[in-house]
Amino acid sequence: MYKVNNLFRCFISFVFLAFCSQVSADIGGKNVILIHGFNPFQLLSPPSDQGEEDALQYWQTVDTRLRTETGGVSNVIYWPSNKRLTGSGGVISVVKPQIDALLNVGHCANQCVIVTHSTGDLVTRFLLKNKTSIFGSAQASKFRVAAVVDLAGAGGGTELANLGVGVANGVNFAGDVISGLLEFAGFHISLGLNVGIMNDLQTSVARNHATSSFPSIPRLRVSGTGSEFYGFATHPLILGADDSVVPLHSACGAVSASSYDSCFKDVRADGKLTYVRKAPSTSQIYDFHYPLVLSEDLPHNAMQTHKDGYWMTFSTTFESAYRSENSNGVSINFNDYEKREWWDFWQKYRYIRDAQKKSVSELIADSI
Amino acid sequence: MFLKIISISLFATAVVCIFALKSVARSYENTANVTATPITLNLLELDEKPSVAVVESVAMEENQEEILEEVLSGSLGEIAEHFSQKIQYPDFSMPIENQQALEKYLPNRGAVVAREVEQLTVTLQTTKFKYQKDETISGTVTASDRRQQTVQILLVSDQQTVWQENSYLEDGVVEFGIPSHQVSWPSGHGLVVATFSHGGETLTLSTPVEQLQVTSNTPEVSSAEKSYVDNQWLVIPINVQVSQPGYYRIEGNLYSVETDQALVHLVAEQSLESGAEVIELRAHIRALKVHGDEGDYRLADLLFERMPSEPDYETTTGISRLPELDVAGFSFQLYDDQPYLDLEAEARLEFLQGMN
Repeated sequence: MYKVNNLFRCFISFVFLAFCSQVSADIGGKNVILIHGFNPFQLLSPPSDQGEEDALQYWQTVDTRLRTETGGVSNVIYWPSNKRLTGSGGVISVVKPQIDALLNVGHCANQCVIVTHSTGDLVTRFLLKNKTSIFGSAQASKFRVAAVVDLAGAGGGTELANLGVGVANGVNFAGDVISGLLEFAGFHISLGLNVGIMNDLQTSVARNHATSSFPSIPRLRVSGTGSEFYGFATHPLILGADDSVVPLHSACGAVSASSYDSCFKDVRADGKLTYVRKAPSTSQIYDFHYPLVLSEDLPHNAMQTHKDGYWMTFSTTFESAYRSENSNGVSINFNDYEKREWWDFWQKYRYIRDAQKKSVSELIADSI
Repeated sequence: MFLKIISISLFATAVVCIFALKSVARSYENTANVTATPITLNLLELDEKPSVAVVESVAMEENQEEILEEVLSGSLGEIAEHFSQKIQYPDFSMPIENQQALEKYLPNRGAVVAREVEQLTVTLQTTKFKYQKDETISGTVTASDRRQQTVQILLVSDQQTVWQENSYLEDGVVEFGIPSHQVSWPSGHGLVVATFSHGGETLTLSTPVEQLQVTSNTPEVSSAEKSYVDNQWLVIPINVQVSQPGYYRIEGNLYSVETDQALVHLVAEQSLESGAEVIELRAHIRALKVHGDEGDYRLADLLFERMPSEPDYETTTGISRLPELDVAGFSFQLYDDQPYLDLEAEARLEFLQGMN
């Protein structure tokens, strides 16, 4: 009896473990694929493993629900920043077999969600727009994507890249540019340095990679205008409001590389409900791109980590025209998630209440 | 004078205090225990008419998780609604909402590069990103203070300045043209640089350009066959010439001949063999009906390319011998006016709605 009980327990444990190894943690019932952003140190020290170890580090503190395996295949996609997006040995050639491996174990059989950070936005756009030719029609049909969540999406490029490529090509910039790039990269970008993916992050190059039309896959954008420790040096180099690396014109998914203060015409980055002149209208946002969350305090590299403490706001409208406020006799219900702040003469602000108690990835995982 | 200084100091102190109190207020936001108490306040509206608002606050005991999720769900609900409207049309036959939206669908654009220095904004923008060998690389430099000043324009390629010229900002604007066919830049990759002095320092902007190497192997759009109606589609067969088999993509914008309004953005992807081939663009009747224009049309802003494939996943840009193609229109009565259904997009909509 003892032996039978033991055998039975072993059997149950085996079944349970077997089940667990096939179960992917997910968000909203969908498996997740993580695609990281630019790693400047790989320009100085090209990774021998194509960036695999660095990619795992990159997502190390992201909400655990976003890091999964299916059939033993990791959902963390890696690519080396010292390579260009395309070309021999380029980023796409490194990423493609990893996606293939996930597709072959059915990771996207029920439509998956791709979560990107920074340059991962650009990589994903290229993959999805060209999936038929990259993967072949049979494999492409398995690459079923429900949505993409872009954290600080750099698909529209950044002025920092224009400057970095310029320096590497001998363009004579002033000291503030050299200092800014040094603060950002952590090293001097020297003449002749192979700047890899930075070439593709120049605004004109990024915006000519697969942008004339988009497949009907919603791109949910999370943007910030906070400061990294080097923000004092990079903010002045980037057009409009930015998170110290990526400008809002990219993070919002705007068609034009313009100077923006918010992703929304009716909400400022700090949540104030007011007309924002320097913000894209809905027809000035790429198709299927949806600015979802904006935070005044959130800096670039806090998006994919466990850091919390950032106030966030959002817009409830995608109308292109600004709706003027009617506050006659208004009763402000806390459940409207708007409140009048006494310290700003009781002007209306909208917040995601208690967002500051969660990291961005936790917020996304909870909400989806 | 003394009173002025005092007034300014008091004002500055008040501003600093308000910002400090804002930070303190936010840090206490979650720990404050507020009970429901109606408060009547006199407020200034945006137009500064006095008004009265009743502010209600709710006890903080309610579930913060639910509020957080409910807040985002409101926004996600809007997204789902917007998405459901968008997927009424195929993503390869997308109505162009208005003139402002047309910019999304124009290929080969040079993005503006700008620097903001104190009150000054300077910009550099080329008209295109890729230029053919016989094309002049043209663009504009602007300075927001409408200055009159010399600005140096350079083309840098392979770490060498291959061309330079002094131009002159008049009223803060100068248009330049670099005769790239007179310049040797073998790699075909370059940077257009604009540099001028400002306040004793040098302001420099740079933007990348590429040369489109056109050879006998470059994919080419040659002409369009007569369009026709096939059920709910306006079919526009495009004749192309390709030297390599593979997947090809053609994109273009359908304009009204009568009003010159941009109507629909069209995309087609097709596997082609080498030689003379036909690739079909298809406009859905529901997309055509958005602007109610039955045609005739013209197809312009063409982009034709060989899609990326192994081993190097490069996109090969093609050319069109004609800047635009004539497309015959048809009465909407001739179409089978059926809605468009994309099951994959519907599944995504369900996902978005599930998040709400």
